[in-house]
Amino acid sequence: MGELTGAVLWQRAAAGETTAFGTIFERHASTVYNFCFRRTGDWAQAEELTAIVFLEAWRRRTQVEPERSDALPWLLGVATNVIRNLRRSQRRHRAALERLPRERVADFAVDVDERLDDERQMRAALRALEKLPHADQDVLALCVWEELTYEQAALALGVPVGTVRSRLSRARARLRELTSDPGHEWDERLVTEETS
Amino acid sequence: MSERLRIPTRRELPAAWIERRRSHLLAELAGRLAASRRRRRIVIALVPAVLVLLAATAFTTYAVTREPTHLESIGCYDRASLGANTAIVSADGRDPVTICAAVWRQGALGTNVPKQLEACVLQTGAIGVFPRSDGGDTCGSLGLARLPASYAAHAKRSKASP
Repeated sequence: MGELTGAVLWQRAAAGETTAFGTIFERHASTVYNFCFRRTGDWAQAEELTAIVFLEAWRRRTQVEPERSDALPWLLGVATNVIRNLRRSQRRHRAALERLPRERVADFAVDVDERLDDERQMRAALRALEKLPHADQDVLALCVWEELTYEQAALALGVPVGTVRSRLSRARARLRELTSDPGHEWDERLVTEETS
Repeated sequence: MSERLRIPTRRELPAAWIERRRSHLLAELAGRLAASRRRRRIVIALVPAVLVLLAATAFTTYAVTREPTHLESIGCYDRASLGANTAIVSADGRDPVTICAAVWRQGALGTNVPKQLEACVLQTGAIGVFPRSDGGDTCGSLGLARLPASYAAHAKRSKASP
C-alpha cells in the first residue's frame, strides 16, 4: 500500500480512525516539537506541549476542512493556541498527561550539553522577540522559523493572507530597528528567511 | 559585550520515542472514543425517556390546568360519571358548584342531594359539575381537569361583555 496523502489521513482521522491519526503523529511530531521549543526555549516543556497539541488536534479534528492536503499548518496553528493558553490546555488534558510514558526525549538523547546550549540561545532570542506584539511573533515564528508560506500561515492563524503579510512586514521592520541596538548581534535566520 | 542571537538548529525526535508516544497516543484516543460512544449510548437511551416524560408532563399539565372554552352553560351531573343524567343550566357568572347546588336543592337531579360537588372541565371545553366521590378528586378519576381558580374572573368578564 502506497503512502497516504495528508488529506486522506485527515479524512480518516476525522472519521475517528486512530491509526490514521497515529500516522499524522509520526509525520509531524518532530516539527511540532521543534516549533514548541522555539516558542518556549525549553525542550522538556516542548515535549509536553507536543503531546498536548496532538490531543487537542484530535479533539478538534472534525474542524479541519477535508480538502486541505497538508495537516502541518493547522497543527502549528493548534500549537500556537496551546502555547498561548498553556494553563487551560494543561488543565484540559491533565489526566492524559499524567498517563504519559515516563521516558523523556532526554533519556534517548546523547547531546545533553548541546540541548542546554540550545535552551540558553533560544531564551535569549525569545527575550528579544518579546518586544514585538504577540500576533507579530506568531507570524514570524511560522513564516520565518518554520518556513510556512503566507497562505499556510494564514490557515494556521485563521486570519487573511494580507494580515499575515502586513504583520510579517511590521515584525521585520521592528527587528531591523532593534538590530541597531549595540547590545545584540542578530543571526540572519532570526528574521530574514525567505518565504514564497 | 555583544550577545549573538540565533535560532538553534532543528533536532529530530528519536524514532524509539516517537513509536512509544504514538502507541500511547493511540491507546489514549481509543479510550476517548470508547468513552464518547458510552456517552452517546446513554444520550440515545435517555432521549426517548425524556421525550416520554415531557409528553406525559405536558399532557398532565394540560389535563390538570385546562381552561374551559364554553362559558355559556353548565352541565350538572347526577353521578360521578360522564354517562350520568345531566341538567344543562345557563351560566350566570356565579360559581358553577353554587349553580348546580341550587339545581340539586330544587330536586331537578333527584332527592339524594350530595354533600359536596366538584366542577371539572369536560373534553369539549364545557363545564361539568359532579357529586364528589368518596376518595375526592372526582375530576382526576374521570380523566378531566379541575375547573381552574381563574374561571371566576374569566366568567365575570365574559358576563359583563355584550
